[in-house]
Amino acid sequence: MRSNSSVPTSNNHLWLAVAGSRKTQGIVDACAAAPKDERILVLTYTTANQAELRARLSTCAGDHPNIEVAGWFSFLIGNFVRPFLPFAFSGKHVRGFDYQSPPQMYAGVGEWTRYFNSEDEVRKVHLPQLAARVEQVCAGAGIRRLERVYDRIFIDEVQDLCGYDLDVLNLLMQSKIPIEMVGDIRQAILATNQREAKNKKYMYMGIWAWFRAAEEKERLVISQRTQTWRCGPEIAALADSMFDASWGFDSTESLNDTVTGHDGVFLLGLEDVEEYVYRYAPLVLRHSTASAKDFDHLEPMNFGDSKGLGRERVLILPTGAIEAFIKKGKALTEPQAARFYVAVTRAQQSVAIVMPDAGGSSFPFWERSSSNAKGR
Amino acid sequence: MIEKIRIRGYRKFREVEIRPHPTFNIMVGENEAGKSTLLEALGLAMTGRVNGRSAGEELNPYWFNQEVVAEFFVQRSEGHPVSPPEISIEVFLADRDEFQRNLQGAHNSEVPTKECAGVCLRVFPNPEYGAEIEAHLASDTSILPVEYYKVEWRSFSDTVLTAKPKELTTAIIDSRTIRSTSGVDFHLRQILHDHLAPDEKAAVSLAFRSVKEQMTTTHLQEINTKMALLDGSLDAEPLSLAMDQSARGSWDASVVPHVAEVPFAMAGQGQQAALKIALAMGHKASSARVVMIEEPENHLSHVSLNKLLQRVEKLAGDEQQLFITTHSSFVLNRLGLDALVFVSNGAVASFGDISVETVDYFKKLPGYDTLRMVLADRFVLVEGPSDEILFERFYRQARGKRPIEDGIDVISMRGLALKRSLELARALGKRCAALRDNDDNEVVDLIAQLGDLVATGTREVFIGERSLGATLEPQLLAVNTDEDILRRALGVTARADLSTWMTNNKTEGALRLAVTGETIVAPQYFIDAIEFISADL
Repeated sequence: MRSNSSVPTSNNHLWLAVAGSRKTQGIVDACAAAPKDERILVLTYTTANQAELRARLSTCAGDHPNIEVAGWFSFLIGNFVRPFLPFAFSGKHVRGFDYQSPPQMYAGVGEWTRYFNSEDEVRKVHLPQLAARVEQVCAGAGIRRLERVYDRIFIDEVQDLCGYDLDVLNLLMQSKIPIEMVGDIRQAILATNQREAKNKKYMYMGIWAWFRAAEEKERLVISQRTQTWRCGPEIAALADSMFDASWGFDSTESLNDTVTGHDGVFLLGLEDVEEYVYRYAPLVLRHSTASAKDFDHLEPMNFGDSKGLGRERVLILPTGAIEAFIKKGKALTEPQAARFYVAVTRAQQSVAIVMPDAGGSSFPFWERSSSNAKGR
Repeated sequence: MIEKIRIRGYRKFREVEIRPHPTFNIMVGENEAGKSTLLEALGLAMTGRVNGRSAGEELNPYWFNQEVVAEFFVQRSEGHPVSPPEISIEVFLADRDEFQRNLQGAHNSEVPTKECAGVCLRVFPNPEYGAEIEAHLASDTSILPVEYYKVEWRSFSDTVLTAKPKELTTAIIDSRTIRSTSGVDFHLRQILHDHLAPDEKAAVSLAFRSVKEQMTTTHLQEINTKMALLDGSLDAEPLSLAMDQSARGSWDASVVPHVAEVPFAMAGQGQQAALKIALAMGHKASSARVVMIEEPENHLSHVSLNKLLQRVEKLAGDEQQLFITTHSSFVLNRLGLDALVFVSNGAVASFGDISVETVDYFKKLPGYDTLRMVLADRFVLVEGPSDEILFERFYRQARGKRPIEDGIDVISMRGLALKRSLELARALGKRCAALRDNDDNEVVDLIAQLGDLVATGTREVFIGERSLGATLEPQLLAVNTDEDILRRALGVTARADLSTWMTNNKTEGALRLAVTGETIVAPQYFIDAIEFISADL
């Protein structure tokens, strides 16, 4: 979605990228192409992705001494809370990080105990709120400092941000530092603070509305990256079909033209599961440990946990909602769609969905004898 | 770079705040006034070290302000549950980009809260040993249990510092003592490292490593074949000799500066000091740095000191901030009186309001003893040696003791402009009397010329009436009407004209009058001056 104005008015950019479009690699490449003295901060929420970024940067941009990778929460602590905490709470220090505390309903927004436990460890659930609050009482000292410390900030998997993170993100976008964000709204299944009530409507896929509003206010420019190197065309089409046109997502273009003899989307009869697993060794996925318990012996992975992976073949143990979607085209809810999108887009060559019958679906059943049949 | 230093509870400094000059700071004061302590405190906060060792290792009970400690024990003995004394040394830095990343934050003692770049060294009772500390204090003691204290070095961004932050380049040059006989001491190594650019250092380090490797592979080979036969180790592992490639054997331990091919440590102490200063201040003008020099005048002849100061002046720039302690007026005048920081018994004062002209004036006359004015409680400015001698005599005559015993220094200006000296006196805010000849001018005119440099009650000028003579000698003759007494005191025969003799033998005459047993009457302006300068004593 390009900004309507002909000249981008903002130095902030959001790349909305489909699964398999090498989102993270895009950041790594940009870092490698940057001048060696450019001070770059790369942020992301999950520790797995931080590790991934560090590993890739050390291979591709290891000679750039001024690139730094940090987790979102340590970024908030180190740049907003720790240095300027005395503005909000005189004489106080951050002594650690408490990632387990539940939300503090009875402690007011100005109270120390809302943000810190008895060990003076900052509570994860209220950390973004504290960061926004400290930044407010110190009249922007945190942003002013950041502007003098970094030349550019990248945020990977930006769709994970929620709640008060968005207030902080807003401050960052209004700073002089160019903010380059990469994310996939369709894969919005994680959130930094799932129990945060603030900005609840913008959580998960809801963040798309927030970004579009920010683009309206000319705080950022949104571009879509629609090419996938991973998923074959049928798989990409299935993934696209989960979201109706109102989302405004451009359709995915597959650059994967590999032919293996078993490519596309298939339905798989219950009786053929063992044989299929034996023959193709697919990544077996289910919604959660509570679903598809009959297939525990296949040691399926949860949809959510598969995020970030890429496999030649995927076998999906569907939920009722997914079955209804495949059979009758019944729309999925946002969280259902996002999870199913993640599951489907793990596959390069084939997706097999276990179903007793096809219903109204046009996907072919996989057959033992004619296993070379092409899907659809 | 350093905008403010705040010291609490460290040695002589109970609580002191200093706003140093951006380039030169010259600390003067009596012995034991706290000049070196001030530099020591600054060094502690900037490097986390003292005497080349980490603060934690060096901590001892005498670091604490003895007044504070004594008060604490009194309070405790009276049953007040006050907490044990602490030390805090804060260094507030200028608002510069390179300090933002690691040093910017609000963790400082400013009220109201203010974000700033800086570092803080704190010494406080370790909460983990609360019980031990209380047990110790409950016993009959008046010494703090520093073994249960914690030294914490943090930036204003609340991160614990373990090594000196790269952006704080600090050189400490102490020419009073030679700390290390084994070669290069910690400070010099630090200075060398800061002096060399990263690629220069890398090149030396690499070359050094390969030389050592070569030594091991070629020259030690033969010996090692022999050593291998030695069955000495516990598990019969072979023994061999190799050059130390560990961090201990790094190049900077073996590559040392030489002066005219003599190793640095063997060079004269004056030479060592001069070299350290040159290394610390030279090169890499791009990085901000703090240079502390303890008593540069030590071990140096007057000529060498002059050369050294010339170098210091030349190397000083916007990126360098100097802190120098000295007992030498020469150093003070040469580097500029406006850089004066007066330290006295735990208090610190600086004087900014000395005119540029006066600063330049004293730079051109560096031999002049400005430090005496700075250090005296009160002082008297007289024109020449004869006035000085006679003032001493008349003072003793009036008060029964020498002026210095009252803390009054009598300083002969020897042709120095009275205006300049009075301006310095004004900046120092000290009681000062100036005596001068009227040189056949009206007293009121002479005083009027000095404008607000004269202030009734603090800086007053005393001049003999025009009608009584243009200079001291006729003034003396005017009040000592019995000429015979004067002739006896001066040993001048009746044939000589007394007035002519006195004018031709000013100093000799003054000396004779100083020791005579005869009663000599002081001119009225001397009496007035003595009364003014010794008031309330």
